[in-house]
Amino acid sequence: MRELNPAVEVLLLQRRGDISAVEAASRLEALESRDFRREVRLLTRPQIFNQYNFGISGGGENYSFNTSLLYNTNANTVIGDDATQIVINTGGIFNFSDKLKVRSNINYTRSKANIGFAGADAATLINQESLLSRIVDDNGNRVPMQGLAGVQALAPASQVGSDLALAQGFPYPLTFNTLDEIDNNNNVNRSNNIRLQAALDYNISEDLTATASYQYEMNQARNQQVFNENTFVVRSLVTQFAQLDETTGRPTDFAIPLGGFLDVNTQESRSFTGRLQLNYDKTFKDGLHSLTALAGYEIRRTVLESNTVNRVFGFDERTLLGIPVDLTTTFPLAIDDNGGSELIPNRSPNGSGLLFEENRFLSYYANAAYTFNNTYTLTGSIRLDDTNLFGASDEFRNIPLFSVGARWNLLQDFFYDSGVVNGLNLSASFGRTGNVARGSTPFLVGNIAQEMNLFNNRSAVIASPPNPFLRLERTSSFNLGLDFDFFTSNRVSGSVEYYRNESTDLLANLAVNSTLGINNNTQNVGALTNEGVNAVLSVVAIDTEDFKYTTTGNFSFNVNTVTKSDVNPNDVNNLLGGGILEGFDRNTIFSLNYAGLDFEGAPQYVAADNTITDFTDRPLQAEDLIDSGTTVPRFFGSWINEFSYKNLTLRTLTTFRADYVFRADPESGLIFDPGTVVQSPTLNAGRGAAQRWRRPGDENLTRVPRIPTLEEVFEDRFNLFPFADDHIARADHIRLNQVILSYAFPEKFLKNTGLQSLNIGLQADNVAVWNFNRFDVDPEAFIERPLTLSLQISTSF
Amino acid sequence: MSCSRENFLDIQPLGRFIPNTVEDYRLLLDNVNGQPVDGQTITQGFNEKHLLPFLVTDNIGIFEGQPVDANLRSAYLFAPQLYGPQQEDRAWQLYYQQIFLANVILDGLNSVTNGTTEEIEQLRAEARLHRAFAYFQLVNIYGVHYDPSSANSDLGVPLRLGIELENVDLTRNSVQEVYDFVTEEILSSIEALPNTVSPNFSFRPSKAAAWGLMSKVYLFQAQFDLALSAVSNALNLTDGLTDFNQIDAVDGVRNFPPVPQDQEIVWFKDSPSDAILFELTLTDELLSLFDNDDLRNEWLTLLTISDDIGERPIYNAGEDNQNFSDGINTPDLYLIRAECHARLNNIQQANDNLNRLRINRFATDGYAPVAINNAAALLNFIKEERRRELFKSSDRMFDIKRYSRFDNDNITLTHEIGGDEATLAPNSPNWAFPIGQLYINQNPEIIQNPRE
Repeated sequence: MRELNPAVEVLLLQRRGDISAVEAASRLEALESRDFRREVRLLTRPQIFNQYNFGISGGGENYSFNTSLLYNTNANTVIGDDATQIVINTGGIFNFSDKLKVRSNINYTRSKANIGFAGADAATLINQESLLSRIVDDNGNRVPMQGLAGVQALAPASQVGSDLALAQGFPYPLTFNTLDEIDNNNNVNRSNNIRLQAALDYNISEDLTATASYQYEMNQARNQQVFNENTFVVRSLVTQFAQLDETTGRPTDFAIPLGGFLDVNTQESRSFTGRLQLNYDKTFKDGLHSLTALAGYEIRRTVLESNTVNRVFGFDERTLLGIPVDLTTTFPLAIDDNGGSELIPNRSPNGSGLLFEENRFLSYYANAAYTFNNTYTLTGSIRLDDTNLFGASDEFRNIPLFSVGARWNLLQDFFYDSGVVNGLNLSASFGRTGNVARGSTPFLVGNIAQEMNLFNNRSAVIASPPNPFLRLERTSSFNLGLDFDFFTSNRVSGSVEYYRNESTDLLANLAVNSTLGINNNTQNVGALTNEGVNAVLSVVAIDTEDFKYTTTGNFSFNVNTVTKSDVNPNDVNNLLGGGILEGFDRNTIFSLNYAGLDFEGAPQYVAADNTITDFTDRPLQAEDLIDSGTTVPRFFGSWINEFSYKNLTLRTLTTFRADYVFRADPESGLIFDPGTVVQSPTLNAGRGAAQRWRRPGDENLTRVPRIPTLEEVFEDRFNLFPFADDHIARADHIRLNQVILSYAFPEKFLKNTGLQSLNIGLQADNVAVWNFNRFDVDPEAFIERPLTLSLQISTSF
Repeated sequence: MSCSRENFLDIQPLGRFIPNTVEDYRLLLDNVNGQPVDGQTITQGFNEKHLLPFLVTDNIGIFEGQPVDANLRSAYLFAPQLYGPQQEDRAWQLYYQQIFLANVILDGLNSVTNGTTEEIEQLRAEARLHRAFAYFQLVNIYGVHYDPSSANSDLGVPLRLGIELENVDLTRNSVQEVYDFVTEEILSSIEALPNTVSPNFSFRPSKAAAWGLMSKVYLFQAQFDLALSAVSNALNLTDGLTDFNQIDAVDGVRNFPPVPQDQEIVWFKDSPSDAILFELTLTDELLSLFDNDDLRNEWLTLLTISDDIGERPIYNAGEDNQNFSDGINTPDLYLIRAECHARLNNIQQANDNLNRLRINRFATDGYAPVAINNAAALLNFIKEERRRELFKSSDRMFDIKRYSRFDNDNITLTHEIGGDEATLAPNSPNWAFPIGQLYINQNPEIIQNPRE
């Protein structure tokens, strides 16, 4: 007897005749006011970050050092989810001679995080429950919940069902309540991170210097999760594996012993980086010619090892003892509709729990710039990155990328000493790069597994199928830019840049016909041009001794067009699923022109020839689709304002994105799709469920279809409803991202404290969003992003 | 520098590999269910079978109150589409994944770096056998039953034999072409296979398995002499049967032994019938075919279906040991041999084969051997025996199709659920499952089955 959706329960009671239709209607009405999304506030709190920073620096003629200590505490949205971190950083520079300098730095970070229940952000918690669920009743008592999360061995029981199980001799109550789970949650991550850096600078000659550097970083992390006997995971799994007496049905033995569970994971990552670089910097003839160049070589290796230790059962937190269980026998499940048998769940199906991943990288690079008379500059660069791309053929790696450019300092030629123009540069560049498809190779790649099947044999699966026709994606780019600085001291400054990129043999993951054996594959799908403008303007509006106001605007415009597509342009599924079409933006959303309901409440659409159809007589074709806009903003930018009065500074960051759209899909909860409800009855119905067509005549009042029968669910007319253009909305929005208020204590206050500086800052993130869509949601996060507050204190000695 | 660069970058990741040895391909061929460590897989393994044909028979019913999803319900009511236009057809996808995996292995075996010719040929033969099995299921699910007079033009399924993923023509081959391909593949592979495999390796094909599959292919074409010789070849290699007298009932159920110990399994293919939402709930018509002293009554258990329906017998003898084998099993082979003999008028041999099986299915002390002298009555009894013995296999759908085609048995299915009723007439084109609309949308050269 599982805990039911309260509305379903009322309807079942009515069907069984336990309550009258009137009573049922009034109970349903009472439920209408419930909304689990509000209930979730019991589990959440504002996010608060605190940051304290202490720094010491000093030095002498031949050496300098700095040390800092950083302490952070984060209290995250879900109660019980928090973290603390200590960072110690110390570094120094030693000048051994005019020619040789050594730099070093050591950084140590220790972190501890309490992972909240279900790992969770508020959105996860909401999605786990029916919208009609409650966490506590009107008297504040915790009540049984549905706990829809699929992780449990058993569906949470109702109070009656749980009491029955207890009376039958089962050891634990079987109800579920999220607050109980939060109380009993004990999931801790601890990690230690060490980073060592050393570098040697050597002046070979006046113009030529060499730098050798080395970095080693290691991170060790350990996750320990203790499930005590009050957690639902333990209660349900132990119950499920109880062995019952055949005649009485009472538990006589427990394949999983009573007691808690202990899960431990450890992980270690290491990386090594070495770099050798030569720098050349020379001017000739009193600065008429100047040449700078550098060339370097970098080698890097990263290793990630992890170990998922098998679960300890019957774990006692006081004695640290566990009880071994039989992981190789299938046990009949005590509470199972199908009367099935299962193995006790095992955390490391490959038998060892070990994973090892290593990556290696080599890079060679060189840049050079030549300037004539401080006015004309030519630049060139080349870079070659090589890695252990597993399974890659040689033609697939070793892709050198290069660029060449020129820059003209107009100040020198036209505005020298004008007094108004401080700087004016015109620049242009051209470059080419190549992109490799990571994760897809010309060769067949297998994955070895210890199969959890009846034979328990070793076997392998295909990790990626052979893809011998794959070509490199190549991109060439062209940039033209102008930067300027007017009046004194950067009073008005900024830049304008135009770019145009052309990509050929675009790589994309494409849906393919399952008849081929797989249903998606990375392929070269076409060509694309992408062009746009970026502009920055910064103005120091007020600049007095006490008061200063600076405002900076960033503005970008971007548009792309698919110039060639190798994908079947008539493949409707591909287009509805985000496929590309020649002549359109790569991120175009294709929709159906929705025509409302027929007199039986089924959806209808406007076809290409402007007739109204429900696609029962003929299938949907590509011509019937309409362009509903793109999912990527064409215009975007930011506006930063900084006011300072004496030692007090206020900084705001506002961003905007415009000219793009989003599609509200059934999972978002913003729309009601009757077909989804039939196919996945456990999902929460979205907005508009109450407006659905119910009786003839409703088609004049609503555009939401009726609930289809099980057969109709497969018909195009119902299937296509989520793709109706009614569900497209403008994603344009303005966001006040950040407000920072900071205060630097003046020196006279610090005189007797020994401190060099003391700063206090208060930062607020996700402050406000203005949207322009009819769903009235933040188009980038359908569930409101929580306001985050941070306190920062930093000092130096 | 170049040499050390190669050494530095050329590392073999642990847990992943580029197959190039016979051992590597052995691992890929031994993929039974396909559950990789990190959830990353494109294959289901070679030993999974289809589900929906279970619901297009007169053996298994859906009763009011049983939980069924839209796909199961559509199949049960012979609907014109079983899946939505964006949905994958599970059986189609499953078998074409197995076919692709076999194709990839066959392609890779051309450049294998070690192994004797015999080892390589055996691996090749195993891949071909798995592929042939998949095509044999596909052509019988999605095609009308083999008819010698029209098989050359009846729509079969696309024969996909390569590994390329772009610009592939997926035109459906004829039923005849698919049967010819399956036959040729089996016959050309038999020599390279081992005679038999031990029960704990029954997921690998053997000569016995190949002859067993071959006998079904011939039987489905009504080539009874060829089927008889093929099935005898198989039974000469392995003929084990489980005596259910020797199996003690637990909770009133005589369970099949665990798969790795089941000597009836010649070639393991896993029926998904336990994994999905519904139980194999037997129809009254099928239940009426069992005698009281038939031990197979104890393969069943009573399950409460709903308040309205109450309790009904469901198949339960596979549950405890998770034995839902539905590949090539010896009881099926004995019944094929009995059927071939009966059709070829070898009355005594037909009775012998029936009794050889049935003595393991009835209490030994009271067993009365079958002795039917009329060939037609004998054939009819064998057909009933197939239902009693093999109702836990979805092959009943194929059997009805072939009886209608060749014997004029005139079996009409009538299914009813929730007030909706549907019938499926003998030899109706609707016996061929509809092709998933998704695949036709993606490749319009795939022609949908006609319906009446």
